[in-house]
Amino acid sequence: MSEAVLIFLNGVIGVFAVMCVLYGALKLLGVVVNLEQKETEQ
Amino acid sequence: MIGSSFMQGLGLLHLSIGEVVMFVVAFVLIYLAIAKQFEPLLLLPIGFGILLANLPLTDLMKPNEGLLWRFYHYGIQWEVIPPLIFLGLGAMTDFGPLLSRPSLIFLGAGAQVGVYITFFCAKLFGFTLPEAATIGIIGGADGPTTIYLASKLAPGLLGSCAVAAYSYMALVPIIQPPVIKLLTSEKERSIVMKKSRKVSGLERILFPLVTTVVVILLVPASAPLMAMFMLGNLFRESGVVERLSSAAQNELMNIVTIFLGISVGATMNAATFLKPQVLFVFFLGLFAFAISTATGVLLAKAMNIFLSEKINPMIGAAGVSAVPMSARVVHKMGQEANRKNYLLMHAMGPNIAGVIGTIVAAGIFLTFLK
Repeated sequence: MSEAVLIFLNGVIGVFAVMCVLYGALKLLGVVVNLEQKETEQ
Repeated sequence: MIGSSFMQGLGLLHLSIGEVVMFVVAFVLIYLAIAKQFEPLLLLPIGFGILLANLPLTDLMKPNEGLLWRFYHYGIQWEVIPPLIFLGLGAMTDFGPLLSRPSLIFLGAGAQVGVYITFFCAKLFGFTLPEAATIGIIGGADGPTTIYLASKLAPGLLGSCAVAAYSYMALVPIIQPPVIKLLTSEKERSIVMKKSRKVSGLERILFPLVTTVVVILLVPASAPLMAMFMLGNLFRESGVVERLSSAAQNELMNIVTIFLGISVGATMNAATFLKPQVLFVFFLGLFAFAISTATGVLLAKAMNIFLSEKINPMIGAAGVSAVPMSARVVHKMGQEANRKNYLLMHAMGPNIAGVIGTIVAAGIFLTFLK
């Protein structure tokens, strides 16, 4: 049962951790692309 | 003498009661697919596969010889078909709604909490850890991921978990609304969300590349599914391989769907399916769907505490990856609460984030249990 608890906790925290990193990457992507577009417009 | 040999070879004389019961199961699935149009693309070949696998003396599932065994072995056991399904899904998916509001990605994670709660409950019911993981992932509402995980962790549950996943996906309009209504007020359901920003072509092209690198670096076990999903999306968004994108969405998707369905059905013989534990699988699968819906909605409500621009908490329910069924359910409920509410594209964000979330959840299970 202790192994089940370990997987449960790692699973829940792990999925959120991956989504946090992905969220950061997407925000960064949005900023970089917007900067690129503004430079092109100028 | 000749007559006796002929009689010996008659399948009819070798038919067991269990196999007759499986015929009934097969006909029910075929009926649901044709008459009720419940996930017909999958349930029809699965039903026919069950019928074939339970016909005596055919040896269709005999290892190294049977036709259906070859489909199953080279298609599913060799991990070929589920990733190819994801290639097609990637080519069909528009990630624009997610890219326009990246914070919705957390709702895709919220629904996965239900997967892990169900995993824990299944363990309490006496299933082994790999079996419990396979049952839990049904809550992700993602058929190919369920099949992929079952083939690696609990092949004995593959058929029942796949049928449970696809059946409940067809029943999303019945399962989700009561859970959503229970957890949200009329006022919350009528929240109108602002129109999302337009997403540039460059962002759409970079998204599959960034997601592939980020997710696979963090959860390498998710690589087969995630890589194919994102490759399909890159085909779509790059705009330079229209033929490949079209083939992945149409011909390839249709071909692998046939082999997936018939192979899954073929694993469901009387000996493996007619067990009390299969009833628990169906019960826990339903529980997984309901609890994943609930955790998605509750996370959306929690996010509203911190967000200045409120989101409609119902879109959290779309965090289960039944694309686009759950997004449509949320949209319909939004319009019932407020006729000016147009939630479809907003709900598509968590819906496709849910696909990513379920792949990640499966990858984490594999990391620990394989």
